[in-house]
Amino acid sequence: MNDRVAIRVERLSKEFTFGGQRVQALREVSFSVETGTMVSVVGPSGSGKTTLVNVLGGLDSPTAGEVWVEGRPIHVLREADLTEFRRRRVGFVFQAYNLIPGFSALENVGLPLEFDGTPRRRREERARECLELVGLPPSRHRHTAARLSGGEQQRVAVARALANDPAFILADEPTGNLDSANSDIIVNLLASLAREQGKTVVMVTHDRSLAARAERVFEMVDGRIL
Amino acid sequence: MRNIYRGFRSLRRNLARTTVILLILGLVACLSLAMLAVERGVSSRVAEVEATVGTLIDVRPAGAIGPGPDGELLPLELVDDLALLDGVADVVPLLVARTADPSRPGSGEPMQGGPRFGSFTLGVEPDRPLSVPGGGTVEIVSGRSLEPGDAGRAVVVVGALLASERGLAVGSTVEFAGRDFEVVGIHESESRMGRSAVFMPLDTAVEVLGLGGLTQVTVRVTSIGEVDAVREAILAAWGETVDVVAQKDSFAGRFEETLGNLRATSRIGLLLSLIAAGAVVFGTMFLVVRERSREIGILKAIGAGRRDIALQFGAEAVALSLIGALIGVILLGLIGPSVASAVVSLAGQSAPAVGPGGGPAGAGLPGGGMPGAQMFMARQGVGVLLGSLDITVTWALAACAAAGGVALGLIGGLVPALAAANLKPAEVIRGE
Ligand SMILES: Nc1ncnc2c1ncn2[C@@H]1O[C@H](COP(=O)(O)OP(=O)(O)OP(=O)(O)O)[C@@H](O)[C@H]1O
Ligand SMILES: [Mg+2]
Repeated sequence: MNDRVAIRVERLSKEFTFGGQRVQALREVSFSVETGTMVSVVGPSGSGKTTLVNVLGGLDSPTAGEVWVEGRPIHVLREADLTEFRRRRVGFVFQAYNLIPGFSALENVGLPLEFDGTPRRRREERARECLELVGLPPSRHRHTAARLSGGEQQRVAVARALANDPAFILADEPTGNLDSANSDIIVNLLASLAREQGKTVVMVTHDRSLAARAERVFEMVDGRIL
Repeated sequence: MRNIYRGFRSLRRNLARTTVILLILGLVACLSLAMLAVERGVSSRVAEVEATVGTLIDVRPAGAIGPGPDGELLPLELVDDLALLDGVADVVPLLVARTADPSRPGSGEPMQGGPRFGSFTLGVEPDRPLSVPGGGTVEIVSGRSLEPGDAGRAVVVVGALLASERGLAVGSTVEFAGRDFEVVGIHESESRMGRSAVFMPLDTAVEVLGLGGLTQVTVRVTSIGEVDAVREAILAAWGETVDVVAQKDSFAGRFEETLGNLRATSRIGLLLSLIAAGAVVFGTMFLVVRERSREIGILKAIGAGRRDIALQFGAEAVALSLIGALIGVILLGLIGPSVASAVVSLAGQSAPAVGPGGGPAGAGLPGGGMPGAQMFMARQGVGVLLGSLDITVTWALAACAAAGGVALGLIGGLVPALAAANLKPAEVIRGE
């Protein structure tokens, strides 16, 4: 194993029990991802894409197997350490409606920094930087989520994922509710983050042409990577 | 701090609902505060009653209690003898007789059962403030009251009603029992009996009326704890010839009981309204956490720890409850006086039935066995004792409301906030 490896997954399984029924969302998945790479995850609905991303980001814990991220054993970390991991190393982008309503774009982007005690001025400064990076015009910085278009909202979400300067960006169908023009903008943005800032990006999508923009494409079927 | 700020700010998210809930909380808080004010008011009245009448013991001739045969008197020496007992702070002698009036039969006789009609004469020590037994305070409306120098002199202070019936004014001369008295003052009193009462110095009354004794002696004991011991001592020494009634055990005691019931009721009301307020806070926060569970998941995904989430939702609960409490204070300021008068009139209706013989607790003054005055008290009921109950907003009450609001927010918001903190992010972000 070399130190360019950012994510290493070994025989990862995740089983849900729901109403007495067992669902194997992930079946002994193994792979690794190098630092600064963008990978996309495609597959039919229910194939385990969201589950995989959640486990990688420490939002969910595996049933079996190992997940190593930057040498950290995510599969054995306790809640407090997982919180610390998400706070410092990971940026999440979800499908839609993942901004806090009533908060301005600027406040939404500054939010992750509130949890590590970054002072107000520094938060605002950083939020502005990130919004600039995703191309939201300054005139919109003080708009609340409800007053932004879907494309603008997702750009704010990407900016928020960048606020804590994470090593990993985990994006679960970030273009799910966007038209193709806006989808392009978001995927280009994620790709440039990997290429120019060396961030490791994992993007789930249904759109094969968007998936093809990543350096690697993971095809998932029934909890396995093909 | 940011967590707390976010919690406060969240209240604005659903302004219509927040307003409705705040109004409900305000009403409940107002009720709690009213109950608290009643409880405090009643408690302080109970303490006052205990302090003023609780230490009084009435001593009367044996068999004289009730509208029994008149005529028995206590020996004058009893005053000095009682004063020598351990625990006795003061001894107040009293002589009551029908006011001598040539036109009425039986006038000039001592009265044990109390005045059943007409006017009565009170022989009192001139260095004490005037009071009508059981009839409340006496106010000098013209001239002066009796003074220490009046001892042995033929001076009287007459009630306004009697004065107008007989055409008396300050400086007039009036004849009682064949002797001329100078009217030095006119007094006004709350009861009809009181307005016909004639006060004269005790020794003058004893001499002029030729009765040679007292109708009643009231003993004030140094502390309420010694009342029983002093009563026993009096009974041991003079039990054959006197009846002894501690005021705390009679009329005043029953008022105390009624006040005690009122206090217990207000305590239960306070408790119930606090529980209701807690339930409103809990229910609201429970709803809020359910409604925003996806948002909580996202907050956790972007780095919020359990502590951050718990603080945010705890702060929201405290803010809700605190603002509700302050609205309650404002409402109380608006409706407090009406609540107070409602409580007083309700309490008046539940006043104890008063039979003859008890010593009425007229503003803490030495009572006498006077059914007329007792009836007066009974009609006024506890209302008299609660007369000064006021439910007004004070700084202390507002501070109490604020502290209660914070405490209730913490208690009512604790479980929902912990539930929020413990939500599993993967489940709530996914979940519909
Ligand atoms: N909390 C849960 N309880 C029970 N079953 C679950 C839970 N989460 C996921 N599953 C099941 O696990 C399987 C994988 O779900 P997952 O959400 O990872 O799929 P997906 O590939 O993201 O699908 P989609 O493309 O629809 O988002 C599904 O069968 C799903 O029903
Ligand atoms: Mg999914």
